[in-house]
Amino acid sequence: MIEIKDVTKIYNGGKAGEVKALDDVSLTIEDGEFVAVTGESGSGKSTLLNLIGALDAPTQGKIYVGGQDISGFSEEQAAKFRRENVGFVFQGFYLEESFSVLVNVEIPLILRGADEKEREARAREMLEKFDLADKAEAMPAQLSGGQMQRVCIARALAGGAKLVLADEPTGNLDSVSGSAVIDVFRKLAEEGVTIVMVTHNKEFAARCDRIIELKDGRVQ
Amino acid sequence: MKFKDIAAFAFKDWKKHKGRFFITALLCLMVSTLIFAITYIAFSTQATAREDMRMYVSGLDGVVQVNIGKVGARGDEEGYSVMPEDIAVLKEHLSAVGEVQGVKTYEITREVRFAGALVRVKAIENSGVTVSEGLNIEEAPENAVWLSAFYAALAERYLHVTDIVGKSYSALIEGKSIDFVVAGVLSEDDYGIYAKSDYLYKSGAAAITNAEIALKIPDGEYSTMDALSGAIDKAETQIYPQGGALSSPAVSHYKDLITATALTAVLAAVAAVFFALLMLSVLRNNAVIGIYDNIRLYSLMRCLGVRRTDIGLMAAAEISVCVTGASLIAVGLSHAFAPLCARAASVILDTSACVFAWQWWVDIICVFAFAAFAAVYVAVTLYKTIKKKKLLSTVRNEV
Repeated sequence: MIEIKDVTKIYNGGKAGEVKALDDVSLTIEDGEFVAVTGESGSGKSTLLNLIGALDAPTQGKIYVGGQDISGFSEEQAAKFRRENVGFVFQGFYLEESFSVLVNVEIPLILRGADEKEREARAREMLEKFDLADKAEAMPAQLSGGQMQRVCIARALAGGAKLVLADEPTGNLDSVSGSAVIDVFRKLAEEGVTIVMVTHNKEFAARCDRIIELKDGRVQ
Repeated sequence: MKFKDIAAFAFKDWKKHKGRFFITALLCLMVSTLIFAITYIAFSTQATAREDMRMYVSGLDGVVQVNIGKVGARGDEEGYSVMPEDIAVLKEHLSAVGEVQGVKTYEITREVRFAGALVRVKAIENSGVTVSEGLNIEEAPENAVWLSAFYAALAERYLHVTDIVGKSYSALIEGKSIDFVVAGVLSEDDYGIYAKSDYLYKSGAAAITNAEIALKIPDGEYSTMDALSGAIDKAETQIYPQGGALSSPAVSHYKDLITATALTAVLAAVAAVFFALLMLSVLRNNAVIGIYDNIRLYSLMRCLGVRRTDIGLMAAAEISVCVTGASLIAVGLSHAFAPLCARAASVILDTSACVFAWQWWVDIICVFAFAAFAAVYVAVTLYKTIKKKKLLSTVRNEV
């Protein structure tokens, strides 16, 4: 479960360009819940993802993930937390173009120090799960947008993450491919993976368990 | 996770990263080689110019001519005359550069009416004439003049005297009355009045319009030519405040070389700035020459749970290996292409001289410059991937 309690995030605090990205936000996301975070540009969506993913710390308030207070994590603790619990999915896929699909999915396992056989087996397992087994040796440039996003999701989950933070995952996809990605998320949520997805797409947001709408850094 | 895992990712499995390393190293190598080539062409141009100058002066047996020319006679509306003291000033300046061998020629143009006839006054260096009647030059007073036999006969006829030698006269020259004594008659079959040169100069009856001074500078080095050029420039400001010109073919040649070398240096600097901007664009766009995006990998790795310091170490290791390795190879390549660099310098200067200017410190500076670039690259990488708080926004924008 993710608990966000009275979280405020201010950038450039006390300086001329001070921005209050999140303003006293409190919310709870259950395990296995598929949540859409919507709102205008600058409403604080990405900041919320940054904070949940321990890429940044709140200015005020607390964030608990699985009962752990991540808001006061050191860099070392935050890195370990991300490595073991969080998978990121990006709008631009963010695949390493000079690596094969298989190696891209292996990256989180490599970073965990898994041996070669173990990581290859796990990566192939993930690719199979997302119907990409036949693309294991392909290069990212040879894939369609939808396929690349599925590789990205496979990579996010390869390390055993139970929390997926997706930043506009359908933004670069056509409606059919985008819909397929939402189907994948839906299925993952049913398997117990918590998914927090930032999106501008109202149709896709409507297919989530819940919509959290942010406006000027506040939950509506 | 320990750094050895990161190192394993970066290097142990390098075969999986070969594309990444290859592109980074290849592009670094291309830029490094170009910068080395530009640098060495610029240095070779300078060295070739020096060699050309040495050969040029050697071809003149170390004797460089300095000419005074394009000056009119005193009183002329368009010009200014050179007086013996001006020549002395020039000699004084030149003597600081090399051994001055003396003034070779004077040319005098001044026409006056004497004894009813238009005659030409000539200044002489008190030598090279033979007195057939009257006093020799050494014995005569300062205001002595010698007439050619033709003018002596003419004067006797118009002045109705039988012997003009030893008599004092006045002549109106440029509206000024000049007193003189006819000291004798010269044996040359010429038309003119000859005199002790200083007297004619001082009285304004004669002026130097052209002179040629020979200067012995056997080495022909740039420093010597630079001193000579400076001496001429300095003398010019003193001698020719109203016009005229000092010139030396050797100095003109030297200045042409300086100009060509300076232009090459400017072009090299422009090219270096271009490549510096290219490097900056690499930094700004978070990619190696805009093709490979290392920052993207580093950012992703941070999202995947790699510590900041580990990413920094990985970035430092990768870019250092690629840039330093590439720059060292580029040093070798530039030396292999040394004859081409020297030939390029030769063509730029249009000379037969052809010198490759290897300087050990150039190599050292260049390698250090690339190492500095690697350091800046790493610093910017760290700033963008580690210090940036809105990492996801950065990622989204940069993708």
